[in-house]
Amino acid sequence: MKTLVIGSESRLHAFMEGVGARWQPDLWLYPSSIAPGWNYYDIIVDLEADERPSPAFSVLSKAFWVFSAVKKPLRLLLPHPSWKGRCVGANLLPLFCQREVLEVSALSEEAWQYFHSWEPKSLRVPDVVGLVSARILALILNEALLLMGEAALSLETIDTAVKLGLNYPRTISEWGAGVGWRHILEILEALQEDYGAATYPIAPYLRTLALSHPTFGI
Amino acid sequence: MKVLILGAGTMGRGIAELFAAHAIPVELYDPNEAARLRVQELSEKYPNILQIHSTLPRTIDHTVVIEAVPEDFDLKRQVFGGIEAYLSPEVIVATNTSALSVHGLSQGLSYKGRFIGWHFFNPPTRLPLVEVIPTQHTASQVVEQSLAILRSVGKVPVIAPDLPGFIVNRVARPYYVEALRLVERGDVSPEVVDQLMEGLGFRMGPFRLMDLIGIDVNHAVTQRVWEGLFYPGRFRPSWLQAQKVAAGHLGRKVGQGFYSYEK
Repeated sequence: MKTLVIGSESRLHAFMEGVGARWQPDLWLYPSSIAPGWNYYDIIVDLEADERPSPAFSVLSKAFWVFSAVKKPLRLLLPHPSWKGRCVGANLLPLFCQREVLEVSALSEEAWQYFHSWEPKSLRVPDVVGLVSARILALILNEALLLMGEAALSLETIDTAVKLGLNYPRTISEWGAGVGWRHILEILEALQEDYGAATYPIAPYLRTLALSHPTFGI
Repeated sequence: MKVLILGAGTMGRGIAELFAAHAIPVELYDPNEAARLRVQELSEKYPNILQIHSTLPRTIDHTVVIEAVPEDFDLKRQVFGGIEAYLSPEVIVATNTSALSVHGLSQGLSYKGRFIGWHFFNPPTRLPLVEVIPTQHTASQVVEQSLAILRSVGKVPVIAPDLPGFIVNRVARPYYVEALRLVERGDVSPEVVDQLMEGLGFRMGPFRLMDLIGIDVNHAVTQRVWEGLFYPGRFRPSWLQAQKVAAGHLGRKVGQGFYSYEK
């Protein structure tokens, strides 16, 4: 399968350290003045489709598309129901795309079967904000920051407690830096939009971290 | 230094072994004969260091008393009231609660200034963290002594607020609650959630971990944190988890939880 992956430099870099290493795709730095030959590819992956308009909907291509669909569900990304059979959503955020398994949402059995036969290390999950693992992780990080604010604790203390008491593979700070605090905030904002602030309050310090550690393209 | 531990269950036993392994004299008290028998091997492993008793000493002049009875507010209160008459004035009294209010447990006691939370993690001999939870009444000297004692047995103590779930059980809640919420709606299976979280480096996915901890225990902690924080929607306990508890599917300990286990 001829595969193309489009995204910003840092996202392409993170992707190629994970799933990309086994797909060996062509890469296109987006946006770039020189457009690729869209029709040449069987599969096109857009690493930032849930963050800006995807070129998928403005070019002529017969490819099967894989859209990043964490901050916005796949069903809200598509301009027309006819797309359901020729695309899937996936968690392509840093760290998550560096796992062995790929987390994928699909709006039709046909699309899921097509993608899964090409990438057997994929697991189908519901088409909801954050999919599964980014949703759970974002809420853990947010909870740690909510507690920090309530109890005047340092992030260092919480990191120690989480690492030594829960045996988590990374501390809160390490998860946030690895995924990108901006992404964590944007997942929380999307959850809040769907379910309300009473169910998903956002820690004020999360906003501070997202602004003070701008992850730019990441 | 010498230590008195009240309760010879899983945590009491582990804490007793921790101190005994550092050659610190330990007395382990439990009125339940079956519980005492289960820890008998410890007194053989640490002769002259670890003693098991069925009755409380008439004078409690130990450096610290560590309460490790089941996580039941009334039972713990009864234990603290019961030792009051025998306590020497300098003894520190620590409760190994995982989510109950330390302040609430200390109310009405004459030794509130020496009362503090020491939350160990299971198994206490291996996991280094201890949450140290002072109340508004705890003397600063008791906090300092607590930190020193715990460090002397190789622990990493962190001072935690007396809020529901302290630090660890609070921060960990979304790992269970949100995973349950996704599965409750029938959108995804426990197996898939576990595979995805383990793929991120977590040693056990949330459902495998709940089975190990005990679904009833995990549910009770969520319930307490939810109530203690005045019912925030994000911690609303799961009906799926409540049904598992009602059905007796409590996890590995009974052979059936979110997964089935051969007994």
